[in-house]
Amino acid sequence: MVVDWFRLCRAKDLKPSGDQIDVEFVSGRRHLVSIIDDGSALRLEGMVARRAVVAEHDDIAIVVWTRNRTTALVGFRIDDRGRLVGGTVVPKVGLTAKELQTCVRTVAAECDRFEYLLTGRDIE
Amino acid sequence: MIDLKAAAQLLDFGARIGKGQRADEQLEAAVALHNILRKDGVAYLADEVGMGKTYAALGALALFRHQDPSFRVLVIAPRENIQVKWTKELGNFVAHNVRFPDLRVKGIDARPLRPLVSCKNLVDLVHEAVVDPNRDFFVRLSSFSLPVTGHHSVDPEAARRLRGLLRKQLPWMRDEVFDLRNRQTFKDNFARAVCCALPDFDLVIVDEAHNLKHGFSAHAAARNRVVGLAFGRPEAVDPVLFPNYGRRAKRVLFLSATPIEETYTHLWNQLDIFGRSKGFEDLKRNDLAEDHKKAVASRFLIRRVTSIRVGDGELTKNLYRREWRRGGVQTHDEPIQLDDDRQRLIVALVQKKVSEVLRSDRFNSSFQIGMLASFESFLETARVKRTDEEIGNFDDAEQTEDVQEREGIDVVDVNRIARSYRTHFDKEMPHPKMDAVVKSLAGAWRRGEKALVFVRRVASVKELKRKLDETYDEWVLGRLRAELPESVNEQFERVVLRYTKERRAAATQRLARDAIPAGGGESADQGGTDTFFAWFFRGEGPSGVVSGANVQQRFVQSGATYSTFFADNHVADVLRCDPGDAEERLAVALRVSRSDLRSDLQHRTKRFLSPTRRHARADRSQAVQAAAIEWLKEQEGPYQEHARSWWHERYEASVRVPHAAEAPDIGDWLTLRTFFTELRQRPELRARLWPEARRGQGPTAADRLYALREGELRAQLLASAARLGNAFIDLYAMTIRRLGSLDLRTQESEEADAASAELGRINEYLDLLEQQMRTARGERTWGAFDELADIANHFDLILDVNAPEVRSEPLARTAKVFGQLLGQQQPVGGMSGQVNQTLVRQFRMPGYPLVLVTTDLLQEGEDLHTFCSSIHHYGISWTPSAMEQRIGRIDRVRSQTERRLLALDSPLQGSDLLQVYFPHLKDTVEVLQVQRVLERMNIFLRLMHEGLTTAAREDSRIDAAQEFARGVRVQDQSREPLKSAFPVRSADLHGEVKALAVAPSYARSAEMRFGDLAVGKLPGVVVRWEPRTLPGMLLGTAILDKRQQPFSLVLQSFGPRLLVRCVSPVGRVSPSVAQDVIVESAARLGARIGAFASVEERTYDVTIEDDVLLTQDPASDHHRVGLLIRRTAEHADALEQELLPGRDEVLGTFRDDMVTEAHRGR
Repeated sequence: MVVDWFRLCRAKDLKPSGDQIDVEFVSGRRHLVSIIDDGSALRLEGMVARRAVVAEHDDIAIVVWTRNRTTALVGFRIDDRGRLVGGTVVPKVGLTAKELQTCVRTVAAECDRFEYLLTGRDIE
Repeated sequence: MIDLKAAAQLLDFGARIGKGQRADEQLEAAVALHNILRKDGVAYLADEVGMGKTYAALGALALFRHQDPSFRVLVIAPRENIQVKWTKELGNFVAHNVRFPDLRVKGIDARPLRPLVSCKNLVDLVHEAVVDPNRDFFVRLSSFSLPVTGHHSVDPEAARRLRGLLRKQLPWMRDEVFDLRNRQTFKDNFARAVCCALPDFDLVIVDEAHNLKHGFSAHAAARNRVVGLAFGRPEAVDPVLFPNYGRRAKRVLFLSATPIEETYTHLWNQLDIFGRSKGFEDLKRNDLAEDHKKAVASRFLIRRVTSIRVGDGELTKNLYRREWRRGGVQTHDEPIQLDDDRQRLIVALVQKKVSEVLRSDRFNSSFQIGMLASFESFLETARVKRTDEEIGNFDDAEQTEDVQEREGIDVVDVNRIARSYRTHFDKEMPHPKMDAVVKSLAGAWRRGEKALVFVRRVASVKELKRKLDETYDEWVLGRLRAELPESVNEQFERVVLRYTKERRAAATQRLARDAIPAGGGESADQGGTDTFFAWFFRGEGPSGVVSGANVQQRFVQSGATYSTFFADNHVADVLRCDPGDAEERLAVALRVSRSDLRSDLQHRTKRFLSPTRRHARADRSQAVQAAAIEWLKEQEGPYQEHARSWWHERYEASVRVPHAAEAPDIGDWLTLRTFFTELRQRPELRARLWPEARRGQGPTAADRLYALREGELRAQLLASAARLGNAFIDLYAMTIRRLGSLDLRTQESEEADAASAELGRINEYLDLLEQQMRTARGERTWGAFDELADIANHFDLILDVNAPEVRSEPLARTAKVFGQLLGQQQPVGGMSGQVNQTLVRQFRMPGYPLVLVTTDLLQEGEDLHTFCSSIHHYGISWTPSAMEQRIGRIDRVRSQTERRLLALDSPLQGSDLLQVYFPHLKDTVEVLQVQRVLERMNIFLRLMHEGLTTAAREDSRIDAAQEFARGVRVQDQSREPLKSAFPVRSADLHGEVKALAVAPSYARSAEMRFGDLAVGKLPGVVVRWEPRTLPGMLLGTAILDKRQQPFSLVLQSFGPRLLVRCVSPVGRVSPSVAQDVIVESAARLGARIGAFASVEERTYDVTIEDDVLLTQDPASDHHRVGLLIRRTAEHADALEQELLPGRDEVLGTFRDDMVTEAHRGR
């Protein structure tokens, strides 16, 4: 199933480029969200912290898993490259621009807040 | 701005308090608060105590959230007990006062849609806000008092610990933020750092906001500054050190019945802490007229006046309270009588000594109100060391800075006289006021009426409790001597002698415990020697005799004689037949012969029995019931639905793994008669003790399930009350009358004859209850029937205030909740230092404790009104607001007084009113302070209703010489009807929002859409669904090749959209131990792991969790949810294989925890 996510993401605060969307917040902070097409769904993923930052925190995995029990729509995990990422899976069936944009903004906002709390910075 | 009519479509304030004026006023308050907050960002609800400020505030919150589902809220409660109360009230409010599940405020299961989180301290708040800011937060004002003691600099160790904890959440916070050299700088910066971690809150609610009345200034409590800075009070901060510092509260709602003590500046101070004072500066100007300030305040402040309609009259608070201002406690408006010369002599002697102390230069004839020890006791006052390191013998030590005043300036002299008296007369010096109050309160044992007693002197809690305990012992021993058979007289007197000795020994060794442990519960009960009740009826009880404790245990031990006494025959209930016919009717219903029924049922009971060789009486009974119910629910027919409900609610969780290989014959367990089967045969008694649920009369399956659950909950509560408190004394006396002896061997021989004796015992007990029901209260003492009938009559109220969670807990667990609620009862409760929640909860129910003695610990926020209409100000507070707060504990919506007055069908008597006692001795210095406080209370009452402010600052001291010169002025109770100075303004009740965001049908259609997921195929995954038992939740098992994986689906909302969450348990793997392995597996699978941080006992601690939004078009639901289930289940199963090789758990293993989690998750 083909979905033109580039078209669906047309909005003032969303700037698609390549397989990423640059999301800009009212506060002036911003965050990049990657979009991966896996056939039946789009996987949205935002980076929270790189391997080096993750390695500084002993119990970050427990924090992430505890957080996953309460947060809606966005889940976090440490990927196979040791990076902390957040994301969601959006099925293509029935997908509308409004839904996709909501998901992109939510992933960006959640990853950005987690990044701020972990590092105090705005890099990703 | 929302319109009143639109709000009325969402909120129903009459659901619990009844339709009418009060409910209408609550709705108006909620709407006005919402509109003022939306317009100005700040509002103050200053209703009189007990009017339901919490509910009005929750109403405003619901209106906001209904329009904006992402609306974020934080509540600041003064202390832990009030924090707990808020979460409980939010649950009650959503369940009963929000008209329909809108999937914004109220979920399909009638619970709050947003998860609630209670934070135990400031770091915990930061942690929880970091974990997930989209929940409702409840914090304590006391958490803002940072524990870094030290005069100017901080205690380095404490400060480093705090710094370390905060850095765990904000690892990048720089070192220079935490300057240990100056206490205030440390606290201020710590608060600014907290601010950096907090999200923006759309609304912050500050309960009992008067605690902040001294504002943000340097002279105010450091706690106030921490509050202000943590919520980003506007100020210039270093953006490098504190990036993201800024206002965190978009709107602030203040709540207090006593918003100010003397001046409008107190109001401005409270707003200023949150940076909300702009535009209200006139409130603090001394050069402006009071009327102008009143007009400024009325822009954001609402104060309503309550009244109760009795006959043709409206009684405002002052009119439905009867104040005993002359000091007496026996006859209204008469002082305490000093009966003998010895009493007069002692009072005169102490007065002389007090006068000498006052005349000294040191005190200049002045003393602090409420802080003379002799007003409360003539016993020796031992120095009390408080937990916060402040030394003081009285509560509210902040009343004075003077150390001697804090200890009580007459303590040294009274102690000397008390010692001398004891030396000469070998007994304690009597205190006429204490004796009069104790004598008056002791009437409670016979009448069953509760009383709340406030003291100032901390040691008075113990002393009053001990004296009351002694009068209780006299009464209970007298009662037992009268009710036990003559044949046991001698044995019983030996028991009493033993108790007297043990009590004396314990007192000597100072082992007598003052209060029950905070946790409560049956399992931890050690009895004690406080009273004969505690010693004889609780814990292990005395050895070698048939004690109350011994008999009581036989109701709960599964092998004991009475273990099925309070059980029920659910098979007979499902088959709607007499228990005697149950076996025959079951065979017909299952279409099998009697012999096949017995053998098949015997085979089926194995699953419900443990592998032990011998099975206890209650276990066998339960196993037969469970097996029969399971069989019935499998059989299509008229009994299937009812049996299925019982199965899921009560028996499914009793399947044993591993279970017995063989089961004994089913015996007569199908035809078991119990207290409840026989109570069904007595309609009149049943209607009083175990009424059927009204909602159960409805036509739907949900109504029938509700009726089943309520019937069982009522039965469990009744059974717990009958065997744990005062009601049990009747049951015990009856048992001994049957045995005719206290000899343990007699009981054993009766047990041998258990089956034949059981029915006799049950009927004799029911006869006794029936007899009490038919005998007028005036002709007998307060008995088991009264307590049980009161519980039955106010079942909803009791659950609302004490255990709202049981309404959604599995029934297999709720009996334990009731057992804990009613465990470890004591006739008199005493509390100081720390709130004992068990005592508080029990005081909110009929039965023990009948008297609760407390310091100012319970002055604010705690509800004690449900079964108490009488308050004693044994020790007096110096501020009218504190006095009003104390009375407010029992003067609240749905109070016993309100219920009594509303139901009154005879002319109003003084005894019908709420009784407020001010016990004191006439012709003593104490009169001066009582009259001063009463005078100030009169002024306070008038001003709070006319213009709020008093002209001058009042002193907490009494100048005895001046007061004597003024003469004693009797301060009569104000009898003028009260009016509000700050009513709700009509303009605040109207707005442009005339319709709700979603209609009542929205949730119903969403629920149907959700339910349809279990119908038809899901692409990509095969699912075996469980029958639905809970709204908004589906349980199923995904069939994966040769394995299976259980999961739950829960319908939630995400903003205005519907979201389906899928949770699949992996098992119990201790995530912190297996962290590295899980990280590696999760990375490979790309799985979203969920883990439980707590170590509570549960069947799984690691899950896979995921969710998906539903679109406008339901046609895509199956596809979307199918993908979700497959992804979640495959990940969970793969993880199970890696972490728990060889395991492939079924749904039944996790079911209870999955259901509970689905509830608690929100």
